[in-house]
Amino acid sequence: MESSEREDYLEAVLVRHLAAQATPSAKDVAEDLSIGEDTVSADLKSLENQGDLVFDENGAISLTVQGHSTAERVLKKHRVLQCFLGEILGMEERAASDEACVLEHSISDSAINRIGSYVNKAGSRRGRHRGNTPLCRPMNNSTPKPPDPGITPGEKKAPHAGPSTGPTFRSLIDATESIPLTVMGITGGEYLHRLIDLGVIPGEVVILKRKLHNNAVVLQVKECDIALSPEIAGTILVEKR
Amino acid sequence: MKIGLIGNPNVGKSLIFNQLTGLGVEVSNYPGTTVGLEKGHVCYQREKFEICDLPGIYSLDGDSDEEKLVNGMLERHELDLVIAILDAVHLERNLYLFLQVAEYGLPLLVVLNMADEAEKFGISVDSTELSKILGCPVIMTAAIHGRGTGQILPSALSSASPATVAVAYDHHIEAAVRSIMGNFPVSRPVAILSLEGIGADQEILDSSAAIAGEIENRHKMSPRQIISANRHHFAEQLADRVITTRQKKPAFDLDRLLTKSIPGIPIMAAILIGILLVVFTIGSWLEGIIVAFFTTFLVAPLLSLSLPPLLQQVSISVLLGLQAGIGIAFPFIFTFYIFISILEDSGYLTRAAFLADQAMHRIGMHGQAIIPLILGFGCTVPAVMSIRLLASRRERFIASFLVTMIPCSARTVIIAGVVATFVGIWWALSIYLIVFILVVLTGLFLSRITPGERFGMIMEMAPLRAPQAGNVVKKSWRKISEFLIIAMPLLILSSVILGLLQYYGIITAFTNFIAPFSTMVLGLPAYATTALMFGILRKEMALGALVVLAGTPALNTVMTQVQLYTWAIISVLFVPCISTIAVLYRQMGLKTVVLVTTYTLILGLAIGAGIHLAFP
Repeated sequence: MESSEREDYLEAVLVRHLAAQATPSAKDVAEDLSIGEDTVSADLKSLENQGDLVFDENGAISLTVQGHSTAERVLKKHRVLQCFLGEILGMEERAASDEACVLEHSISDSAINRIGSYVNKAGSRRGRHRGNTPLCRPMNNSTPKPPDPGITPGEKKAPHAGPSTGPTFRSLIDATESIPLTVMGITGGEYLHRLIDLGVIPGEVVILKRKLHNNAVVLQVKECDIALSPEIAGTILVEKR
Repeated sequence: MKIGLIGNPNVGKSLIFNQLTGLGVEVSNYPGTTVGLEKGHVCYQREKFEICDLPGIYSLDGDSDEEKLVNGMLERHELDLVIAILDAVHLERNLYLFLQVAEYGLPLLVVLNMADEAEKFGISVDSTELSKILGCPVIMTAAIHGRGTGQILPSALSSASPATVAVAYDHHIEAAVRSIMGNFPVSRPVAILSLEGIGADQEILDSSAAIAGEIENRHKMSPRQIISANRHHFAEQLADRVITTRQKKPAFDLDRLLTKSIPGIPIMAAILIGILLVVFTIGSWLEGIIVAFFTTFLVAPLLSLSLPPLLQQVSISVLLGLQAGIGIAFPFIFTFYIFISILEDSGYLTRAAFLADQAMHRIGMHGQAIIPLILGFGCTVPAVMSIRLLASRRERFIASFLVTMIPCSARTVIIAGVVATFVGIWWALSIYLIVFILVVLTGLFLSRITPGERFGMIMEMAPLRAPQAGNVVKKSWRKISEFLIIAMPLLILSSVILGLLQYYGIITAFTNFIAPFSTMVLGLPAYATTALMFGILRKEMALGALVVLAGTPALNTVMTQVQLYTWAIISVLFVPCISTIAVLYRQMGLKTVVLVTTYTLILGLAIGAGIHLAFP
């Protein structure tokens, strides 16, 4: 088994564990990763032989100290990368998670630490990132698996087994109309100063007055209505009050 | 003594400027109407004052031309007195700019404009308290009704003083500013700006950047963000102290309809098509009356005088020129301007821009670009000038093409006077449809090939308000009087020249020369192609020339309907008029002008030839 596959399995077990506060079975892991149960059982057995995890008599999986530390390291990398790709670089959440699934296996610790401190620094301007706990499929599994965060774990398509905390802030275009929002930050570029001039600054309470289907929005800031293009609205991060 | 009017966009600076100076600069209800610096003089108590209407800005720390212009004038103390115009409805946001302007230490008078609207929204501002806090005089006005504007100059001259209010910045910022001011001989506002990375002196900027880096490390926020957050916060507290709001919002918000895709987009289409239809109807009705009047009371009596041939030719030419100007151009242009003015003053244009954002993306621009396009229906010249609203050169380049292609009111005269009158009103509308399709295709093409950065739309929505009949008529009259003063003499003169050229057979020679091309390729009588040439000077002159060369305003007696339609569409598309070329050259440079002119020339002739091929 390749090390990336091992990492994915361990990560999946840890995520399950964190989500449910219970020990998952091989079947759960197979469901989460959408791989055949037989393959998963065989792979997990070999991980047991390597000393990463143990099966109890009911078939529930617990991570050993060695397995746990590997899983935790990978999960942390995934979160940092997903946050960096999604929140800082503005990739779509799903794409960011997919990309993170690939990169988490090969990125060096020193690189991830640097990215982590960059993300934290940026994050402190706009609130902490607490994203969805991700889940990666082993790389050799080529079955396309479109995720649907709305489906609960246990159903057939249930890749999002993460804790249901959900993101605490999102971009303006994902917000709903007429609800007061607090601006958490702007990831944008050269037009930043114009937004600042108009009062779109972290901490400001704004209302999304109108959102068209193309994501052009009218934002009420300081009692003024401001029309924004989708690409600009997408860089404004907000939190529900 | 030089007095400057400073304020956010769309707070009524130009309106107040007009009332102070008696001049007539463009006043509209969308942000960014004033693009350059307008100057006027006023005499008060036998002393002469120069008043400058500065373009509206949101802050002084940007790098747009407008911000640099205002900033430069404040920094070099070019103004002796500043009248800061604030919108009473949006006081907090307006104070943000004011707090920055106050740092320059010039004598200030605060004018709280739109007091009437604030009242309507249940907002009352305690101007005495505000004046006490700011440390400079504050007066309330409602410039749109002329209320309180008479007080501006007397108050400014008697009591304007530098504001004593000062934003309390973060102590690291204050320390940095002190250190910059200690090392370099600069004023406080300049030091603050250089901390934000703005300024001209590289040495100061470098040393400020070092301090700024330290602050950023400590705060995890750039000095610019800290400074603006401090200002916003200060403005918020200040506004809280002087504003009392009674919840008295109007029961129905029109924006609930206007800014939704449905019914917003159908409303927008209905407004634009409705305007065209109404202008055609009213215009041709007026045209009928005026032309009949001319024919019965002037042309017929003149012909019956049987003057010597040369004199008769000249006097008939004068009459035909007058007839083309007053009878054909005036009814359409004037009605059109009335509607354009209503649109401008209502604040609707910003709604249209918001709705059009998506469609405009497809043709390589943003929502705001619809404002020049709509203004283009009035006159291409101001429309080209308003291209400056657009943020990137790429958008301005694409807009130069598209705005030039929009049928301006002069071209409406041609469409209405030729096609609506002699072919049919729906055929006239079909020309708009064809132009619309060509504009979209051109936009799609240009957005593919034009390099350059994209810049999203950030546009403040202008408040919706009922346009005032007086203002609308005054504004339309100002525009139409420009037509009467500049275009009419030209029209008459060219009519006379044409008449003489015709009399001496020169036109015939040119016409014979162009005849093969005209009849073979375009299917038009040769004199019609000759007339097209005059459209380069002014679009409506093409029609004037056609009438003179055809020898009758009843064009359907000398040309077929297909010919009239072809002729109209060529003159609509064909080469922008000379004034457009000049203003385009000033705004965009030689290359763009040459490209636009060549493109429209080829397009016009190609469409004309195409129609001739399809309907020989």
